[in-house]
Amino acid sequence: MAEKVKPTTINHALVPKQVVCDKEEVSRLLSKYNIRKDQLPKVSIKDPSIQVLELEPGDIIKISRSSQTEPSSLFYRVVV
Amino acid sequence: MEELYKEYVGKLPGKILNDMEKEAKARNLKPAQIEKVLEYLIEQYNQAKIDPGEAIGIITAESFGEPGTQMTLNVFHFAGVAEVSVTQGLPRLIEILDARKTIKTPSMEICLKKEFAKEANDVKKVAAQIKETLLKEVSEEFNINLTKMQLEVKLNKARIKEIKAKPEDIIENLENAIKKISIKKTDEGFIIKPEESSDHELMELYKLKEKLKETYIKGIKGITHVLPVKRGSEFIIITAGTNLADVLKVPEVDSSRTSTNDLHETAKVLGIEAARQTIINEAGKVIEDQGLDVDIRHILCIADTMCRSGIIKGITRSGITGEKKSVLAKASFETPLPHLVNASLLGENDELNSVIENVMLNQPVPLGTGLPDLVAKMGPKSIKKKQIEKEEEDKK
Repeated sequence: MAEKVKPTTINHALVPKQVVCDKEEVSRLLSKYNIRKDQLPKVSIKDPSIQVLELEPGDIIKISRSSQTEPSSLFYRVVV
Repeated sequence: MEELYKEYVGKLPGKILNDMEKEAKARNLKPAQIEKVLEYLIEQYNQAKIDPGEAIGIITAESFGEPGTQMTLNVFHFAGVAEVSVTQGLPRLIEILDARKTIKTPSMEICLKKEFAKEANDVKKVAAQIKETLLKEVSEEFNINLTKMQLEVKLNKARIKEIKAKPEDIIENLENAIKKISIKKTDEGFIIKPEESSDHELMELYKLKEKLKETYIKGIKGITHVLPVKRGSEFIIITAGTNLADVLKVPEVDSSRTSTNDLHETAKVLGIEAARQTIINEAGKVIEDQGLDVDIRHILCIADTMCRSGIIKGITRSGITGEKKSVLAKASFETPLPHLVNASLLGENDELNSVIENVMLNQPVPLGTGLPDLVAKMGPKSIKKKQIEKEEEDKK
């Protein structure tokens, strides 16, 4: 009976908008900060908020957060 | 007007630009004046920026440490009127920063959908359904019938109606929880009989009675108290005990605003980004409740560091401090001997790349002016990178 439940987007005030970066964006990001992929902050592939994106390890997600200091700031995490 | 500000996006943070726009409108500034102010703001902003090589970690630690000395040490405060108590002050801050798995007072803030959040009675009904209910809470009498060797439970009909429990569901839940009993429904309640008879029948019956009293029959497991509270124009429910995954499934609950103060549960249900935001909210709440003022950037710094690796790591020797590469740095935090013994058994190296181990060895630390080397290495790799950059610029 263990049918696979199709993941849905989590609509919650605490969860920011997250999208996958394409290849061009990834290389631009890495060269801008002169870093390797593994130096980025990580996110688990089992993380419930990214299930809907169907990612693979090594993908980079772009997170648009808002905080008191900046209405919209970008943050990146690499999927592990 | 919009055009004027567009030029400064990226040069100044969005918040400053937004504030500036508001102020300029309120004071009826001319474009030339606005431009002048913006130029001045950029100058000030760049001056206020942290210098490269500044030890922001230790500044954050001090910014939390000093107010920590002024916090309440072990006072329980009752939020609202009823018996929902919340850990506050230093103990709560330590809980958050250590990322404790089990916290002293888990609690949830349940927001309801608009149509249910207006009337106090509606909110009470939802709250009664959410609360974990045990058999003893809906029953009036427990009788041991000695002649028939059975338990007779008399139910409180009003309570049953309030939590909208069907007798069939209650029987099912009881049978799931306790094996080898037969339950019969009567007008007043249930008759419960053990299926097997033993030598110590009476004692077994008595034990069964005590066990039945504590058996779960309805509601969401883990939610031990509920308290409807008015906040602004709507009612919310504050709970003791937490079970985010199940509460979000309740149809009356607004699943986009309901939150828990348990970091690990948030991470499990909503992901690491939500957990990070919860750290910020909870730490901010502690500091605000104590009437203290710590800049939000320090809290952001801690929250980002704790959530860097994709799972929440506390500031403990098994958390982010244990992730340090240097043996000496780990040993300087807590339990130095085990760290040193393990490192020598495994033959570990210490590259002396960080601060604390260089302090120990009386060497310059890689901070501030000690960070850059006098001669920059221009290896083939960096030259290649520059070429790539040039090519990219040419493309543009």
